[in-house]
Amino acid sequence: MRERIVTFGPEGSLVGVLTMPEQSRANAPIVLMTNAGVLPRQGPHRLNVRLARALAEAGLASLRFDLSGRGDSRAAGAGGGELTQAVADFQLAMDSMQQTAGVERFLVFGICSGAVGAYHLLNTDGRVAGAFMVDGYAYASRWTTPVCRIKRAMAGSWSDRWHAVRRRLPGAVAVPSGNVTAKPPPRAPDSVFPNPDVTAFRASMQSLVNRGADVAMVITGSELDYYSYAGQFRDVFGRDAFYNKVRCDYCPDIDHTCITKHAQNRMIDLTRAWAVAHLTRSAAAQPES
Amino acid sequence: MQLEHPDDGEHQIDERATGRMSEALRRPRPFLFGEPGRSLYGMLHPAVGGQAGKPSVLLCNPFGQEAITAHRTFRVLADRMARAGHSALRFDYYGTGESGGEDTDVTLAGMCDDVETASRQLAEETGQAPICWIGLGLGAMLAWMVAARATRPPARLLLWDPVFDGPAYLETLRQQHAEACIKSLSLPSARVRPAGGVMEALGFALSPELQNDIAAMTPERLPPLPDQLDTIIVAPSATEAAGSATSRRGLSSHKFRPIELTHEMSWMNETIHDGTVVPAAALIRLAGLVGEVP
Repeated sequence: MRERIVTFGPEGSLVGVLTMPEQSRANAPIVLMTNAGVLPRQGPHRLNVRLARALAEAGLASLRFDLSGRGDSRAAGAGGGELTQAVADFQLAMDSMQQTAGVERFLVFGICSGAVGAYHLLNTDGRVAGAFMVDGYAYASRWTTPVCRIKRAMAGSWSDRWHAVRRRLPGAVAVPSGNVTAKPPPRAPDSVFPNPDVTAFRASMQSLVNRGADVAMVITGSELDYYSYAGQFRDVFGRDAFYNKVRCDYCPDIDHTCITKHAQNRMIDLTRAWAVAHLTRSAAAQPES
Repeated sequence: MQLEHPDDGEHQIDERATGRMSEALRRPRPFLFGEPGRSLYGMLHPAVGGQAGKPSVLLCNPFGQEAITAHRTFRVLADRMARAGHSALRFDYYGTGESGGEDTDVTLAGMCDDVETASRQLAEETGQAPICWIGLGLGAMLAWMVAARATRPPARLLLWDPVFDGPAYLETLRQQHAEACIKSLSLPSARVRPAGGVMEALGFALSPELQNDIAAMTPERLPPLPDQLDTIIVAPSATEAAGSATSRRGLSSHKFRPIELTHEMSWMNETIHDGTVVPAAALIRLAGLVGEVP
């Protein structure tokens, strides 16, 4: 494996690290990774660095870079929306890799705001063959909240459960809940990047599937209030034509920032397997020469 | 694993063609340095403006999640230093950030070696040895330990929120990790216990060797500092820390300058979007302290 610092964009203002395998797979795309929120490009708990090196072991090159104004990259001159700028930065990264490495297809991995950026890039630029999006956009079914409540109640101690029942009785006296059953604050991305209207989301997913894009989503255990059971994606989108072509994994043992080594290893395994499977599918889809 | 130095990209050739190379050289520059097999990632912020040419400054990262939280803070501090005429280098220890290696490769001795390597590299890049080392958290103690043994220590050591008590630091990491797991995973049943031997702390693994290194890092065992070294402790309870340090055997004659400084940052903060990103007022104070160096 080799790693090389690359600078690109206007006056080399964007900074990244290109991780290359000793032996690349034929016609392999480059996997792009960038910031999750305000974190530098190394990702939460250095996940992107570990993922890049794991991908290289599997024969895949990757570029992790800082978006304008984040990490080691300088801010962009002209003001645009955050998502618009992110997509523009991704496109500069792809331009650079096309010019210097001759690669024309890309995959994108993103967590949180990185997943939102990946979604919009996938919908904007045909060079992107697929995206692996962790805790990006997610839509609740009618069962999401009831299942969430049941899971929280079951997770608490018997005392917590009793107090939960007492709080719902007429004339109940307020009883402080334990840490375990306390509802976490709303997830920040929902306020920063609200879900697209579900109709628009459906249309874009169908469009992506029609053009053969490889779409994978992972929802972690941190999103319990918004995604609470494995069949939620099916319950919301099961009747849509794209449903069987899009992968959505519910991973309650992984948290939003992969704080445990178990979570990091699982995330790396899932992403690497997806990227390698993409290569296999792409090769199978290529007409024989 | 092999890390390569960047080659000239097309944008750099364009800059030469338009005569803007000197301007490009004054911009912060990422680069790789260090011994073969122990490649380190650095970001050099060359001095800019009319005051350029003042002695340089070395920034020593804290550990683990704290280094990620402090990334922006150090970038802004390095930019401030550069605008004040001091070239500044921030870098990642081996096994951390963008440097080579895994977090299980991290040892206290290795990080100390990396501080020395970075100081030499900064001297090579700027033509003069750094006059001030700024260390944050565990990085402050690394700077201390290296300054105590260095043949050419800096003139000033700036210890920001230093970790004087290794065992207490380990315990804080354990508590913060447990709390972050509960908060982040929503449900305690989904928690997965770490593998034996390795301690997990806010997303980073501490090898048994590193745990032992930190556990042994107590005020009593810290090496004496050179008498001429101007040592500033910057922390909310800096006066108490300075008093505690001077009470130790071998340090009684050393003059510590305590600067009481509180700020709104929580370096172990696990939440991406919460809280302050950079403690601006604290950075102005720190930059002023470096600027005092003759």
